[in-house]
Amino acid sequence: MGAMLLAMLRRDWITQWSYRGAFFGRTIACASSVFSSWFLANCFSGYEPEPIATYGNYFNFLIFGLLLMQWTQSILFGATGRIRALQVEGSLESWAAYCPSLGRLIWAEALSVQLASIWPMMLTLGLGFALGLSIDSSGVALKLGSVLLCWAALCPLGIWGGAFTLAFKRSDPLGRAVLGLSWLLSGVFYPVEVLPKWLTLLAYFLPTTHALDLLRGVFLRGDDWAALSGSVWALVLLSAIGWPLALGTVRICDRIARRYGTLGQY
Amino acid sequence: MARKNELLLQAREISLLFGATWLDRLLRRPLKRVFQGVNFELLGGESVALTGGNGSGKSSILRLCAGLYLPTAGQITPFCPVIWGIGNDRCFYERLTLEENLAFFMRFSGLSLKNVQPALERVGLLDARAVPWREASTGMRARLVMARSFVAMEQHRNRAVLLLDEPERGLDAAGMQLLGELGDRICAMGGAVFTATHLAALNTLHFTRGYRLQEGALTEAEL
Repeated sequence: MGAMLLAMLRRDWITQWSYRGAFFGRTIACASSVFSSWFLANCFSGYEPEPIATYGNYFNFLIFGLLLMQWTQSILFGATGRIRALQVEGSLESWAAYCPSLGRLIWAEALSVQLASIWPMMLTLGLGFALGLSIDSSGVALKLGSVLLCWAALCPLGIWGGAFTLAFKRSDPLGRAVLGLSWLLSGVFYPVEVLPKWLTLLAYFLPTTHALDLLRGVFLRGDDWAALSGSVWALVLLSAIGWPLALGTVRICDRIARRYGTLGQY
Repeated sequence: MARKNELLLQAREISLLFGATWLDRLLRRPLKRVFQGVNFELLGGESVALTGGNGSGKSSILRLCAGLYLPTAGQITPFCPVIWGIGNDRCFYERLTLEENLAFFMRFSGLSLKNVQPALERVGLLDARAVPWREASTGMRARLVMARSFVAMEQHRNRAVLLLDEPERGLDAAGMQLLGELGDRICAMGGAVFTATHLAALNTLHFTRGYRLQEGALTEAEL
């Protein structure tokens, strides 16, 4: 698994580096979104309402929203996008002949996309620091644990999407719906509290809402897990339900694709 | 090392039908009967030809052997690894060179990279190793697939079944001779080669016996 992942990372690096224009284009897009957040935050500087003021300022609040959404996007579309690309190239069936299980292939592709997404996130964070982002520096283990918990809750969605693509060729409508709802309801630009009551209820079904609450609380306010127990438990529950469901879906979709002989089709 | 005549793969009463499930009936997909009640086996040391007309199901049999299709009925049991060699040339990356592509495959399979250059040399691609896949000729691509088959078989010390789907496509006479040598080596080490081909009569792969697939039935064939 480790060797497979390393091979994929090296392949991606060579491929990305051969499209230098796109590589720099993405860097500029990433930097632009940080600067936009900074200008937007400056408009409201000193006028932040109560829920935002507890995180320091609006810029801190926005940067963490952007970071989580970059991460969510790579998780949601990582495996799906790669499996789809393999189908269109016609190489999925070929790799399936060499890979001990398609689950491992989906898993390795998903991880390679997620690891590749670290650099734009680091760029966002680095530019954020340069423009005044301030985070709480205590409790490194707690912060690391929070990141892992968020990953464990979000990752099954990506694996599930990859598996669904394997059998039914498309799953991005669902991923896009989840991503779109996350932008709208998870509190990326504004706190969830400003939403109408019925939309707040819907927001609590999204893992991104709880992930944002946890990450902002731990990184910006220096809260411990006891103070954020609602989000922590929600993420634990989503992981506990999500993983068996995702792994079961991989097995079923693998079987469907082989039974219908559609591994080589798109 | 496998002994000669050791059973390496066995297929019992396998059928392949597409469009036969309740979901297919619900979606009114047409029933396509590829073959029914097919039996065959591959023994160590054999090079077996599989012939038949276009669309007769030769590639489907190879896919069943590789586990890429599940049979609708019956059972196919491999007793050793099955390597899908030639006919499986799509898992290469346009932007990577021939050498990088082979190295990717070896990393992917957990193999040592020290065998990359010898494998390229063996198939006559050492001088062309820096050519990107997108610029490689059909013959170069076919030889790289062969290099991959070499290393995949050696990973299992040649105790494996090598599947070849119409290897005559893209290979010149020297390439076919090289493939013949690979086949001989596998058979000598107790592995087996199973080749779907239209040109069994050429016998560059030194077939020991043959099957013919016609109208959904598999029969022993004269070579």
